[in-house]
Amino acid sequence: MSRILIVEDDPYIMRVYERKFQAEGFTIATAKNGEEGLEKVKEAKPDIILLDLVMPKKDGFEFVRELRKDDTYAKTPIIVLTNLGQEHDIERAQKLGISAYLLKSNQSIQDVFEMVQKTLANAKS
Amino acid sequence: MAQKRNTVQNAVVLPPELIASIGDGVIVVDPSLKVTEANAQAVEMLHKRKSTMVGHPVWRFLDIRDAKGKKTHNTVRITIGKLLHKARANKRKVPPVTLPPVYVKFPGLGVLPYAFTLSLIQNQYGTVQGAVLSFRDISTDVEVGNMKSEFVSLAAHQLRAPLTSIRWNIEMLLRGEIGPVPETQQELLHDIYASNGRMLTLVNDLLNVSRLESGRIRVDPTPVDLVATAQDIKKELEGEARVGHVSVVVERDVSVKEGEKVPVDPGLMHEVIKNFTANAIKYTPEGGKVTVRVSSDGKRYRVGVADTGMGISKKEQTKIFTKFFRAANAADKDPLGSGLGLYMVKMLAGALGSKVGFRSKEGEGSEFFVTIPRKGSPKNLHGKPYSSLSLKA
Repeated sequence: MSRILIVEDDPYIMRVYERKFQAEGFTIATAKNGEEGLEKVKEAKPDIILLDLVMPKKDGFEFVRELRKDDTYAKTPIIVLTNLGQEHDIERAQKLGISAYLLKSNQSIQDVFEMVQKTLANAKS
Repeated sequence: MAQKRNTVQNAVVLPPELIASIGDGVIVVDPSLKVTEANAQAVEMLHKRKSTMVGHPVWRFLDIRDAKGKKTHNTVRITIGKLLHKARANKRKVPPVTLPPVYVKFPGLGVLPYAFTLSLIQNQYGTVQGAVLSFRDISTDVEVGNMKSEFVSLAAHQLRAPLTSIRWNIEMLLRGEIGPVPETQQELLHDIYASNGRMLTLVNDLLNVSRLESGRIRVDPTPVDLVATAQDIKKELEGEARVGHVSVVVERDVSVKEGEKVPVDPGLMHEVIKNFTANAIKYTPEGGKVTVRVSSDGKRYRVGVADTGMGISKKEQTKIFTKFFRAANAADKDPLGSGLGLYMVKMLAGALGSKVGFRSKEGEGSEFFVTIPRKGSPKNLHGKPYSSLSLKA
């Protein structure tokens, strides 16, 4: 069973993620912002992280930057799901070392799930 | 000896009381563009004494910049040059021209946007006797425009998150992931899902419109094969063409070599041609044909999308590229359109340094076309990317 950490501040989006990944048999940990995400990551030991970018306290960029400092999570795959579509945001996130950058409004929830599975499979191989 | 044309000698003198009474800044110049008169408003705006201006070229007092205050090409000078050329070539009355916001650096005031109207003073034979430059401060208009665009942009961004969660929840219900859904309820869910998709598209369109209107769209030209682009679009729209029983053909005119490329922004150009093609398919009855043809006259490339569809009535033709406009027969066939598509296409083409147009006959069909200069699109890497939203049905 794979473990997923979801870092997202919109409660309604979060609930869809929870429903979807619970139904697909994932063990889920959630965090409302980057700061909480960094706290939760230690106990959750996620195989993959689903990350929003615009969040209060600590945003997604900051979360990745700090997470990558810890060798334990240097290679944990991160999928960014955001509505920030500007190229410089995409470039900035990619430079920090993420696996995929998806625009929420362009994806179906099934697309998100499939991307998570694909990324997990790539990480294992 | 023939009278020397267009010199100070034949400059007309306007009564100073007349131009003093005009609320805008007014500068009168002779045919060599030297100042002959300036009203009090102009004097105040320019922070110069009238006596120091008269007899000197007007450009000494008008420091044209771009919106960020950097030196840029002098659009006022270029436009006056064009008007003079036109007047001298045709010997006819040349109508006045109002320019889009021109940024001028005034001493002590910084860079402010101004609306300029340029009118030539011509005698009955068309000989130019001078010109009038009238201008007014439009900082408030520009500020309000920017605020409006910012608001639309912010509102659209904020709307995306709830629309996405609605979409994802309905999707899970429809997939039966929460439990079986009776068929009658599925129908309702499909309708909600479709409406949600329309709202997302509309939100995206509004975002794009606000970016286009504020000139903040990123244009990154790279060599593009227009024929290949048209073929890709044909493939993307295969589903729509099949459902509508419309055949789509892509043609390369002999004037365009195989694999020939023009430096344009690939995404924006794709959007323009796709919009024309999708419209052509949508408004062409069963059994009809859509022809996408790429040609060149040596100076410009031209991509024309011709259909055998319903056409546009003559009285509606002038409005076809205006915001929110929908032709009556098009609205009848597809009541759900937003009327933003062609408006956006026109602005996209503008950002690409291209022009759009159409020919149409009601009941017979239309051809929408875009012409692209051979040198391609001007670069603008400071804008925001146009977001094309491809929702899966």
